[in-house]
Amino acid sequence: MMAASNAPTAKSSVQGARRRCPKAQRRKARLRNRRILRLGVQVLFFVLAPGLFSGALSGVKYIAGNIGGLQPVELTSFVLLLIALVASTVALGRFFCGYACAFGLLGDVVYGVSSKLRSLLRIPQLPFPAPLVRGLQLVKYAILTAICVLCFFGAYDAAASCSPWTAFASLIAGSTEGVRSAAFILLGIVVCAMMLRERFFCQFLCPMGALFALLPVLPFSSLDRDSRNCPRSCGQCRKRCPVSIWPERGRFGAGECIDCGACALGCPIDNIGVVRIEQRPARRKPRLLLTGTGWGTVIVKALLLLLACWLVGALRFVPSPAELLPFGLPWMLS
Amino acid sequence: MRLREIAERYGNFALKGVNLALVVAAVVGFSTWATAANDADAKTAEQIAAAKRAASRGPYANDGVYEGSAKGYGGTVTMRVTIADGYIDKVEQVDVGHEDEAWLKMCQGIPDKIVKAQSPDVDTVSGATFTSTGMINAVKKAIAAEEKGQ
Repeated sequence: MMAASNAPTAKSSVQGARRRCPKAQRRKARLRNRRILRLGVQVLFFVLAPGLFSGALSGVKYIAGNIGGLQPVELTSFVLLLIALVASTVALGRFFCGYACAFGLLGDVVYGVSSKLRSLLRIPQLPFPAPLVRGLQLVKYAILTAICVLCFFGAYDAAASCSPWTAFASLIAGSTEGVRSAAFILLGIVVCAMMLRERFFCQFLCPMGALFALLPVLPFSSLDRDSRNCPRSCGQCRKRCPVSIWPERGRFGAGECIDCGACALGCPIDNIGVVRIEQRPARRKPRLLLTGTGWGTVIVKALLLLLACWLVGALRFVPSPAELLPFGLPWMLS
Repeated sequence: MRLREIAERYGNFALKGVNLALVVAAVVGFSTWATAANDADAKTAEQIAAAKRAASRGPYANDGVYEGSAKGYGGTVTMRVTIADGYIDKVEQVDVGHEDEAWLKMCQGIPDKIVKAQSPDVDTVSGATFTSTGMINAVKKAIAAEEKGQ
């Protein structure tokens, strides 16, 4: 979401007129509605499965640790959860990151509140030049590698008690016993950083984000633009993107996309979507079939992810498959 | 050029797909090897235990074949225990009453576990508690019979 410019300049009357035109108003309303839908889904997942990211990360750590200890990797519940989230990312894109991750929700809330405060107090946003963004986005891969290496050599336990996720999970669980204060200090630092830029943690620090960014996303779930139609020097999509990428699924940086839909919802010519059919004759503009940002898509993806989490026994408050199904699931039999 | 277009559009996906496939194959391959290595280690440990057994007499005083029965899930379970040279040599099922196939299958590792531990005090199988408890108690009864020298 774009923060409104605060300093009045000669350009602002033109910008003001652009912002007030009916198409822009509609786009703004669509963006706001999409944000509300996303918040609703995030809260749903927070209630039903707040531990998804930390369970999946535990799966990664278990695998690295067992390989390092020359032990076979068994299908523990954490490994199953990791498989479920990887499968969901390949099929649905990084929907988990944008809609189901509790840490992502924390970041969105923190950023939302702080940017409202910032615009009220007329504090300008910290600039993040593109090379800095690119560089910082690589840090999460280093963090993922460091965690895997530490687990491989069996040295992680010392670091684990300081991790901000442990602190966050203990706050959700309501009991902070056994969590060192260093973890809470780190969590505090991360929360402050979340105020600086939208999805700061997700794009710069999250090891699961690094893992998901390296996964192949099926074309019908990755946002793509037809750059042949783009007006010159527009760049609205990239300007609105919280992770500063172009919505082009062929680019290597496309892995950074967290499926928030701001590009598609903000494109002035509705040129961004996931599925496109070519019209004949080839001269006519190809019609966009599925934008991938509509309520239908979001609800279908949410249900599919909920189903995957339920099948691996990761949902709270819902009877487990063992209780509901007359047959046993092959990965759940001990 | 068509090939260049295809490479541009799907090259990213193909690269990441191959990467994922390689990582999964590596983990599964490693896991298979590690399981085999663990099994080999277990075999060696068994051989060492067998060698130790051949060297001295075991804790059970009376050699022979003893049977014991206990209540399982679907009726009475009868187990036969063979004591040789003071060690538990063999544990076999004689009669399993009306136990269901699926549950029996889950407990099929118990006789081996008892021989390995040289004691009926092994863990029950979760999900098949009554069946496994029946088998274990039947073995305990057989050993009690051995102690009495019957």
